[in-house]
Amino acid sequence: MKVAIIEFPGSSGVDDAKFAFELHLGCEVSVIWHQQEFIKDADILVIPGGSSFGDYLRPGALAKVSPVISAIRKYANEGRPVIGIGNGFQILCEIEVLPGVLLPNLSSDFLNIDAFMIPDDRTSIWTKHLEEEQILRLPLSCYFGRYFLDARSLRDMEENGRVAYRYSDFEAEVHLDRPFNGSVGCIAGVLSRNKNVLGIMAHPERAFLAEGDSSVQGQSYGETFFSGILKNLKGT
Amino acid sequence: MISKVLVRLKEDVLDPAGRALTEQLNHLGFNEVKSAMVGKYIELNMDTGDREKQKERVQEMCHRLLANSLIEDYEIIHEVIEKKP
Repeated sequence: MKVAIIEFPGSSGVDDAKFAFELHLGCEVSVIWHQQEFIKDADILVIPGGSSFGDYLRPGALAKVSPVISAIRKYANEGRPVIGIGNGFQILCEIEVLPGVLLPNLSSDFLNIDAFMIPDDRTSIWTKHLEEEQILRLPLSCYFGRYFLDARSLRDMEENGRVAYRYSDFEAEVHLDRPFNGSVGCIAGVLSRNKNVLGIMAHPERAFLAEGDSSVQGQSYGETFFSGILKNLKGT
Repeated sequence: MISKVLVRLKEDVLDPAGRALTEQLNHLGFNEVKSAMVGKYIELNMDTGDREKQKERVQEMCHRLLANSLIEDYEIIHEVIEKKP
């Protein structure tokens, strides 16, 4: 499986993504600098986290005028799989491949904690390997993490099964009345209209266990997250 | 010529920074502060030579990059002023 990771100035999550896909998942990884205008030979495109362009103006705002953006759009429009993680999610929203925007967390804190989430729509390659209410515990590391969408677009998104994951508590209960970090509808992951593009604020690429490590309840949630997706992709 | 742009969150978008600032100002004894809004100020030194054209260009910049119309409003304040020598 060939994975292309997009790197912008300031994308500090490139190495995390590279490490996860190369070392843990056995993929062939190439890193594409943001000045490149084309993407070739990739089965999956990854836009990693980490404050591209220093989050100046708004997260993802300056990245959206980079030459690689038109290649990302083209790749996504062809129905091929794209995942935006953290800042990658913010960029996908800025270039309107995904709807909505990420605002500062409700608490106005930088959140550096594990978030619990469960799949919502389970028909996409990103989620169909998961059980109903299967909990994923993934690290979140952001200031601009509160997903926001106007009421009409939210309705459209929910009616069309475009919510990939919702934040829950550790017992898989979703609390719409007090959404984690203020994200509308407790939305933790968003799909494009034809579900080939996923945006997620939490970092599955940072949720792999080192050998002998059992700190995260003995589970490698990154493995659960990605290996199922790669299997789903091979099956398409 | 210089154009100044003020970008602020739309009224119906919750502003945690503004809320935190209000609370802290109240803590400092400025109890008359009922709410605060934290926005962005952008100053553009441009070379258009034409006031109307500059206004048009800045509006296009706001639309395409400087503000996100989903959550932000913008205002071009003192649209074009001569920079002091």
